[in-house]
Amino acid sequence: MIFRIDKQTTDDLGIFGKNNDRSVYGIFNKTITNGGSQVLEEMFRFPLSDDEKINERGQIIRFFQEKEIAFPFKSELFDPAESYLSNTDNRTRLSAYQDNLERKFRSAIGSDTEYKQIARGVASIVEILCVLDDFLENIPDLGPGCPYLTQASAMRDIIYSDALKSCLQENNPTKITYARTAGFDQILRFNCRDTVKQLLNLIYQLDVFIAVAKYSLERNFTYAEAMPEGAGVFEIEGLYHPLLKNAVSNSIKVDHKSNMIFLTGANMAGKSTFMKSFGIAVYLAHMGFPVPAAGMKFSVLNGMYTTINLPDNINKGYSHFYAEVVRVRKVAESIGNSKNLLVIFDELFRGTNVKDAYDATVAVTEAFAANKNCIFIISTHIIEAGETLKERCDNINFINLPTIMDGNVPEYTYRIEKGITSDRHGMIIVKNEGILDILNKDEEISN
Amino acid sequence: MKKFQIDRQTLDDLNLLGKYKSNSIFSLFNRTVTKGGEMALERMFLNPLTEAGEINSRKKMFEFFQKEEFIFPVDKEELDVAEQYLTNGEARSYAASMVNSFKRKAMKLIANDNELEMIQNGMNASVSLFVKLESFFKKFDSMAETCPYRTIASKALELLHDKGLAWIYSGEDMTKCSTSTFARYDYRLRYAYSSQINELLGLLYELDLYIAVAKIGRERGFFFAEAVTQDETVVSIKGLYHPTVPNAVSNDLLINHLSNLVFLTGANMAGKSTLMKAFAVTLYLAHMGFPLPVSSMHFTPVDGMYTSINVPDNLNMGYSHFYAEVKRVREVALAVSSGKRLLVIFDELFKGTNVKDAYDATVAVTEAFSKHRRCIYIVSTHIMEAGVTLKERCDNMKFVYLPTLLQGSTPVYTYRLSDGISDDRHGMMIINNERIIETIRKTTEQQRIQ
Repeated sequence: MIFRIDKQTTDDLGIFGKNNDRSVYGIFNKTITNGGSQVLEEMFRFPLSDDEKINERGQIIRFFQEKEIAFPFKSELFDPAESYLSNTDNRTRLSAYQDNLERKFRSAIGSDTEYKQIARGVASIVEILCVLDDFLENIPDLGPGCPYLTQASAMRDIIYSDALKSCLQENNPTKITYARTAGFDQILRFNCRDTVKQLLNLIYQLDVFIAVAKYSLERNFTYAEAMPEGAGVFEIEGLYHPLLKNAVSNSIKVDHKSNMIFLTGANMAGKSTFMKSFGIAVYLAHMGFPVPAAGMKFSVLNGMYTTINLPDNINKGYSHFYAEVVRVRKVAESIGNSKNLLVIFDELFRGTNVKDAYDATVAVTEAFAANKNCIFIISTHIIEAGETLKERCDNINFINLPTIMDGNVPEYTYRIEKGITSDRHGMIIVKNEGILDILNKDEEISN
Repeated sequence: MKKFQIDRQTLDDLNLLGKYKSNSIFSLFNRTVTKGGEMALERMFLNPLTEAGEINSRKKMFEFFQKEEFIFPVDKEELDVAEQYLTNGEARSYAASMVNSFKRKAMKLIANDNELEMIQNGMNASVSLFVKLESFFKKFDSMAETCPYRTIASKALELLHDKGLAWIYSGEDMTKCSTSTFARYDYRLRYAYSSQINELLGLLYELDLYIAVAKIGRERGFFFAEAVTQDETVVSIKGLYHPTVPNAVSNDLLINHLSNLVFLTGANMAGKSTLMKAFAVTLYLAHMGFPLPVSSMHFTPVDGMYTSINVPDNLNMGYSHFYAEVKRVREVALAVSSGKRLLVIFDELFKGTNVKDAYDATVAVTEAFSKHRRCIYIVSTHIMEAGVTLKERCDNMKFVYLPTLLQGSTPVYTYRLSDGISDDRHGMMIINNERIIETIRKTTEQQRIQ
């Protein structure tokens, strides 16, 4: 089953981005091979929605992190191998009969580029096979119960297969004779092409596992524990935003009695950052990847929809408010299709007047709150809406991000507290800046 | 002359300057033929007038040109050649000039050098330019005494009719005259008379500007404002619209000392910002004596204007949006309390904070500002409750709004000002029309059945 996401969500969370340091994909994209990078992107495009698969991948990455195993291959082996394998033209096949004087002469004057390319491809793959064999031999604790055993055995089966076994006997892959190269060419490119491709793909996955494990070790990420869907568990401890420096961490727990989180706080207090951190952690957890937190346990969800930076669509004649309404409807419809979703709305209905925003926030939040399966996080600075909802619903967890005044400069702790914010620093700032004094003093003089 | 007080934020909010921005107010009027005309226009944009008398006489000038439909008397290429020639004086004395002329003549004969040709072309273009200008400025002689351009035209004629330049109008062929005569004329044009000629070019650039601006005014159907001198501030505009918004709707607006604050409400897309910008842009242009996107207007000149329409968040400095707004309000408060007569515009005041604070701050700040009756204000907000409170407390505010109509579930905007405070609550109506709550309930129910 797939984990449902849409472009708005990946954009909001900054999953993919042009700038590598600014996207979640970017920070994990430390693979050595290009193929690894593609496999990683594939994993990001399709998060999992099955607790067993999530845990399995998580355990593999964790295994590599704990053993601190390094990726054994040189990256320059893979490009020649890939381009060699992609050439499936039968006419380019080497044949032992061509090993004549003409070929030797051409080799001597260096005009046999076609042969050289093929030979290079063959040599690369032979080297990959040898290195892999050696690597698999030396993985510590690769016995029963090791999470990587299944994949390791699959790789072993391939390299020890009758067809490929002969490659392993080559001592020096850079100096293979013409006759043997022709023999390997037949096997690698034509007889066992699909198997070799499959093997490369397993190596790319290995690259991803090791790269992610290494990054996770550097950043001290945690592996989340996935529970079956609908178990109603959702706990994150020490959650922080992976792209921010010196990010403050927070803990949050969601269950059937508090599946809606109502977040209040001033504009700069970190509401969006908290929501994004939460979204990113959930996203990564559903890929089986390590998460920027101290601990996480969750029941698998079917998807997530966030609305954090909703673009106005002036061209379509939508006002911001209308764009929000359309988005809410889309989310509401998605709830009908999949059961357990994470829904995030930042500053719901900011594009309208206060009265409407209040009414709409209360009505929509209340209607969503009747759903006890999905997890909702809704933020607003219409504090008054929170007060009303407190009376009407019993499954809302009210939290806030406080503002502390240091003189007349507001400071933010970025630490979640219980309840609805009661920060009224606006007027304090106005008073501290002496605006009313400036205006009124002059009035007294002129009167 | 007092300098009109305006700052970067205001200029940016109103999109006034900016030669390379196609939608700026400057580029709307920037249709001059000459580079000098463009520079003169730029100077006018940077220095609006603050005295009613000066404004009105500038205005009369534009009005005259808008009515008369003059065409700029010289073509650009000829002027370019003449300008190039006239502004590149070389010889400091008659003798040196003579020597240079002979040298060029000799060079032409020996080496087929083209310098002489360039000088000749320059002189020919200048002569032709002067002849055209003379006949153009002569026309004003026969005009009525009240013609505002008459004095300038006669000044130009005086410069053109200088005895030393009389040869220009003799019809003599410059290519055929002797080298020594040529050298004499060259010396006069490029050195002896250079200050007169520069003055004349200055008048020409100004003429270019008048004609270009008047042409825009005529094409757009713009009218002029009357500046009045009186102690009580008044700005009265009929048929105001935004000059760079296509198919803009026009509105009437009167602000005076009795109601010196306009409190504007309306939905987000209803046109609040556009109306405020139109007002400020028009008042600014009125201080330049320009033709205006209005059907009629009179006003007491103000000393400056401050707007706060797109206050930028300054995240790098660690300011929140709210704090940035407070800083801006403080800056304006200082200017207002200096006793100057100002136009102040606040769009969506204090939107960067929670409702309670925004309400309190809007009421307190708006009330305090409005007591300075010499200044005029337009304040917009979508905290309508603040309007209701202010209506009870203050008698010097005018409450207007831009309405939203619903066509099915699509909001439609009239862009026409109505009196009162907006009570458009279409938000919930749209939500109901889109059946949002029902959809949420239905899908939640579906889940329960599964």
